[in-house]
Amino acid sequence: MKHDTHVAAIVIFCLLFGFVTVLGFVASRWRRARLDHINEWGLGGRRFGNIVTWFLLGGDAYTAYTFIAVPALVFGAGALGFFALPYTIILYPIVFLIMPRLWSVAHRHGYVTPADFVRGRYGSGTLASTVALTGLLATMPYIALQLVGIKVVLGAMGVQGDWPLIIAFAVLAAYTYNSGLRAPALIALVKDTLIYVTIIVAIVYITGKVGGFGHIFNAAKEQLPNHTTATGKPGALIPGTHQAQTAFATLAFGSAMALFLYPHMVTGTLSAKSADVVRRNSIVLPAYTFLLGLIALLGYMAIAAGIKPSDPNFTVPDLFLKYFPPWFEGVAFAAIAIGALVPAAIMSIAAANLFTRNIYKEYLKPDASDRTEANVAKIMSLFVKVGALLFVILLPTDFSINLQLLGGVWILQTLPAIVIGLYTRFFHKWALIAGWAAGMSLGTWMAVDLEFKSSVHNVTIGGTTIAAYSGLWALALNLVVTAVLTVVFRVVGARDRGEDETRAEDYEEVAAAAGPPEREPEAVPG
Amino acid sequence: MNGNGRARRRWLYLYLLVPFVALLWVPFYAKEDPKLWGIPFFYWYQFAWVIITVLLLAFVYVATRPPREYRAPSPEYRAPSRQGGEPL
Repeated sequence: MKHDTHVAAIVIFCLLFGFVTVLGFVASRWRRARLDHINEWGLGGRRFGNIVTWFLLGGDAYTAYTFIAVPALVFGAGALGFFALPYTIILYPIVFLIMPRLWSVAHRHGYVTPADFVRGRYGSGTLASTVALTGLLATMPYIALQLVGIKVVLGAMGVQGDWPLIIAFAVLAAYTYNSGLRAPALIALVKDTLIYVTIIVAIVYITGKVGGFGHIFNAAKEQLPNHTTATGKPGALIPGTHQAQTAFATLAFGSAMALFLYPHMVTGTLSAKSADVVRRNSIVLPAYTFLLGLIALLGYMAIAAGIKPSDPNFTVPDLFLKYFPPWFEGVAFAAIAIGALVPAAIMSIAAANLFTRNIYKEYLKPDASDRTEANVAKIMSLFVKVGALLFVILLPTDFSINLQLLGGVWILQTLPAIVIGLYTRFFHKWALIAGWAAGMSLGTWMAVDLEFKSSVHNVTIGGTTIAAYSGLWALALNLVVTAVLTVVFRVVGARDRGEDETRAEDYEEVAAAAGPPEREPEAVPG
Repeated sequence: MNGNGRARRRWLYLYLLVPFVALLWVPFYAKEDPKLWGIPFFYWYQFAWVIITVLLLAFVYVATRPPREYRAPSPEYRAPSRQGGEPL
């Protein structure tokens, strides 16, 4: 589809964009505090209640790029694209069980990043900076991908060139610098309202126009075999082969394990005011999963509507262009663009926190004051954004997409140190580093071997070939290496001198073992 | 009373394994029929599990909640420094 300039859409888009910009700056006055402390700038003071946390985590996890990429994958590959649904369902039992432990220990010891926890648990700056570096590597392309999302909607409205993108990001950088995590928290409220409205309207209105669900699925069933995925396989409505099914399941499982290891998800979690807020949120966050399922269906609607996008990323924008009046196009595209700003802001804050706490403070200036920390983080958040911007402007889009896929594989390799570390201090710190190196190497090799066209790699074990998410293969090797070396190190008596500064009760937020609290328990927090 | 409430009923967490089994065993739902409002089984089954998982999580949350008098008061955050590793 050729994209003409849509003036009405652009006007509405700019109005909404301007509104969230004002909101971003005003956010610094919200629950006012001294923003020269990293806890305030980088974690919003750890005071967010149930509702703000819900919007923040939802805005953080379900990014603009998801809204573009998931329907695009469904449009091309069919059922495989729906792995996003089981992924974001089983995610929540995992969050329910694991994240309150991380919140509690982080609260007790003042940890700001996942690497801070690793440092405290294993007493190892090396292991902590390894985790931090992995987080930075995985986050950068993720930020770049948000820019790709903005670029797509601007392109759909007929806005060409890099300048609009640069302006949008400069504005984002300015209010993130100014307000810290408060800015995306407040903007997330607007973003999600717009997204919910857009998707509900799209589902109700476009389904009716196209001719109902029965017709949509029939069209998809008929035409999917003619579509092809990046690897050249035909699409399918139902995953029929054994290979397709294991790919589907392992992608869902591996992605669910990886998501909350990302620094920006940890940042969102730690900004909650209690572990109970985290737990309650894992119960209500699946509302976004339902929404994501509806968004995935847009891929099939595009098939039924006969959309022929020039690039798969334009599947949803082209569908909206075909059915929506211009002013509502503006609303829908603004929803996607603002949906890119929220996670991009949180990601850059998380990356800045990581750099400040686990690289700057660890190696460059161990005696940095709270004020210096906050200043370094603020400046770093600007660098991170400029980096992401250059990435998108100078390199082909595929580059960010490929690196983001690899980022998921990489971040999964921090699971033994972080998640298993929340339960046991059994693993030897050098074994963890060796396991991480093995996992990173295997995962990266697999991605290169597949020429970045897919994240599903075949491995033959004892004559059976299994197709599974390469991140999981890498994690399996990582765990084996870590476990074997831990045992070897213990047997040969290699000492693990790292001091564990945490105690078992730090992981439980309920001070119940000590008896009822002295203060009168207040009603319901939140 | 002995120990904390959450610890006593920890076995209830096993309920949270159910969505894993239901969704990761793909052959169980990789089929077209029965359809619901024209939506193939593969798809409406996944949507249904969003709701079932929410119900399971809510049930486990309520059932493992410690009795009211044992709940910690929501602590006001006191910004500790990294060195301030002492429990609040």
